[in-house]
Amino acid sequence: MKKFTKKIIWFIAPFFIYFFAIIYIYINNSKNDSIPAINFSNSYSFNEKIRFMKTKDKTASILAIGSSMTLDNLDSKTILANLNIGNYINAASWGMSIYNDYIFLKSLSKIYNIKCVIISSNIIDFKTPGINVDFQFIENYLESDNYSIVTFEKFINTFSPKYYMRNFSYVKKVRNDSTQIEYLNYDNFGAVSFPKDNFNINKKRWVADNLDSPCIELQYNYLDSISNYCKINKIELLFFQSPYREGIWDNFNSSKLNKLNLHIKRIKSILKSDNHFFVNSNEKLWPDSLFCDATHMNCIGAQLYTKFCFDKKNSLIIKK
Amino acid sequence: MLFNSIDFAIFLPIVFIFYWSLTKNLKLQNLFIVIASYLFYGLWDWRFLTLMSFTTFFSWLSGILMLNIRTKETNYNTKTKLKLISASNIILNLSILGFFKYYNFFVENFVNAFKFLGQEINIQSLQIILPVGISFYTFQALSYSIDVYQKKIEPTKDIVSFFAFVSFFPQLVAGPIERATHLLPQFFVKRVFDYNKAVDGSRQILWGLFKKVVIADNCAEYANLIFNNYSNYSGSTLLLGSFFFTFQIYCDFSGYSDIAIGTSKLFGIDIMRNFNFPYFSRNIAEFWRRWHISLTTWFRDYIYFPLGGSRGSKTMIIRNTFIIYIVSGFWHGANWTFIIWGLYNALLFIPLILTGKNKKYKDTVATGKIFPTLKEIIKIGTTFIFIMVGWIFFRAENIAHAINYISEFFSSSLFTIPKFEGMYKALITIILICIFIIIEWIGREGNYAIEKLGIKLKRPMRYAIYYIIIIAIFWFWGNEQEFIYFQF
Repeated sequence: MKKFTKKIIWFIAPFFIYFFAIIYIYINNSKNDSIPAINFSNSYSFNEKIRFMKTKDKTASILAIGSSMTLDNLDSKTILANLNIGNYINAASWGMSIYNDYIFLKSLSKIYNIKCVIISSNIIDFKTPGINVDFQFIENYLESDNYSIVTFEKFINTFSPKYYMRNFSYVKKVRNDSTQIEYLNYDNFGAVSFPKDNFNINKKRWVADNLDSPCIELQYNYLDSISNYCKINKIELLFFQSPYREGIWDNFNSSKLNKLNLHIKRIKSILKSDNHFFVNSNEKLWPDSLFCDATHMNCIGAQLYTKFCFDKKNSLIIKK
Repeated sequence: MLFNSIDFAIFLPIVFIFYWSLTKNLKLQNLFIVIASYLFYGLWDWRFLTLMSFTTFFSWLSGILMLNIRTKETNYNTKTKLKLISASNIILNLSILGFFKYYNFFVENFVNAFKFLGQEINIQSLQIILPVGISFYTFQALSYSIDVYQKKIEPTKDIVSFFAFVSFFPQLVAGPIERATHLLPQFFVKRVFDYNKAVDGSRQILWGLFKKVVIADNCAEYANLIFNNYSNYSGSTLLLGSFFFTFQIYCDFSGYSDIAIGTSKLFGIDIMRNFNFPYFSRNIAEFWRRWHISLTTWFRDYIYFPLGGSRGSKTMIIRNTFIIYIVSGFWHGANWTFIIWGLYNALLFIPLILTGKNKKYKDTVATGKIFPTLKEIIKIGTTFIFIMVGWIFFRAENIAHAINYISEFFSSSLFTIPKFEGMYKALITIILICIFIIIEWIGREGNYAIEKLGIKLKRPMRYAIYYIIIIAIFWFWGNEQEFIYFQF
């Protein structure tokens, strides 16, 4: 037996270096800017957001959740100026569906004392099944310190060298290159601001209205679940319909307009049943100069859009 | 605890060292196996430990009762009493299995049947959690009780060894389903550490991990994508989807079996073989002699033979074949898709019975040769296609899903170029499958594909191959997916 044990130990000895590398990545993940975020999901953007949230204290009472419509189109300073309660965090990331938002909201409720949730959304959030996320892993990770055995066990079981090798060069791009749509260098609150000038506009994204494919019926049920969840837990829900750029809006045919109107009508009726606040920003036209593609806004666009939504909200309070 | 997890990588060496430090006391060693096995199972869900111990205890008790009756009574009532005890144990075990696995299925179908007849009845389905491995350990415990009744094995008074036999952790949750006649006696004799056996076991574990992590988990990614969104894809993409699933299920399940068998070898215990290169079969009968052997032979011994087996008329043989395959399908899960899958396999089997070819091909294809003949390639290919179509029923969520998938599959778009998200990445998986098939073909005369590596190759070459396999496992690690057969 000794011979066998010895042989096995010698055989696996080279892999100890590998295990040390894993431990190093785990411990330094949120500190070292050249290390990719842990793979909690199949979306790098989401993983990067969790890495960011780990570095922040958990005192935020206002949370923005959702897809890139929330991540890029909501201006943090405008939000803080309008909502004078506590701290704020933008927990949104690319590719999140309404289903993802619902599960994520429930997870974050265990960690944050949430008073208000903001969702900025576009019809695309209702068309994709979303990303695959291990929310239990995220809860453990956000709540624990760097040396939690439960989190480390989960980390090592899902550790993928393929993922890290692929993303070592990618993180440099997403954390530094502000001219790209992948840019993920967050402000203090977790939002991303695209520059107004010199942005590298992708022609395909510039004209994509994403209205042709059908919506997933279940996503409306999940919106209903979010609405109910917020009502039951006394959380204020603000739902903003994110705009299209003017050039896209002008070219909508009646079929596309009908689709969009029907979608907005359904959202309105779901939110109305629980007395939540809804803003349809498509009520006015938004010049192309405020956008980086068909739906994602630059920093000026984000400021104007966020202000527009809160002006609507404030005017409603005054009316009341 | 998954075999492909860090938990198991820590658990196994600890158990291994403690186990071999207890060689002086057999009872203590067996007790240690029971504790380790209950810990292994309890880390999933400790609540079901009582259920497993209940099943084990009553199967052991049935043996003791039969032993008492045999030794104390010799009157004409003895046989009836033995029958009653054995039947009670079977009913008890099957009732537990039936409740946890099939209650909701029967309730839903009962309600639907009444609805169809215009009657509304109100029976609530329950939110029942299916205990992991229940079908496996129940069948193992059942085999003991039946074997004792049939005098194939002497009942044991040693409760610790019996608990070790039912709960032996390597094969507890997904088989191979061991027979008391084979496994139980191994707990009665002292185990001596065998270096060659341990090396062989480690090699088999390595190969099992390769199958699971490198092939099955990669195939799962594309099989899931295509099966879940089948309506968006062409026939050729659906063909590729079922091709991926065909390799996913084989490498997932046989990978698990390899790890289980290899782990048992580390503890000086032999458990039965579960797969014998089934995709190199030349007809469906050969396939079923090579696929999930422990379950197939269980059904053969405890259902097929008691029904008359193949001794009666052809009509009776056909009836028995249908029964076996339907029961086998139903064993896999409470869903009509599994029953149809069983039925489909029975239908493929019948022509072989009628032509008397069901017992053909008991040897390994192209034994002692490098390449098969063209005739053999055609036979292997045809059998593979039939099996692949059958897996669609196995994988589908429901019958409608399966039918729609198959009808899209056999449309004119079958002859177009497959197209789906990540298609170019999937090419790597296809290349890996091709390499895997070649390795399996080369090693098809062994117990597992790389069994003869230690004999055929010199140390540096052998080690290079081991390291390549390990690096591949680490590289593809991270897509942690549960073993498919855990759900059964």
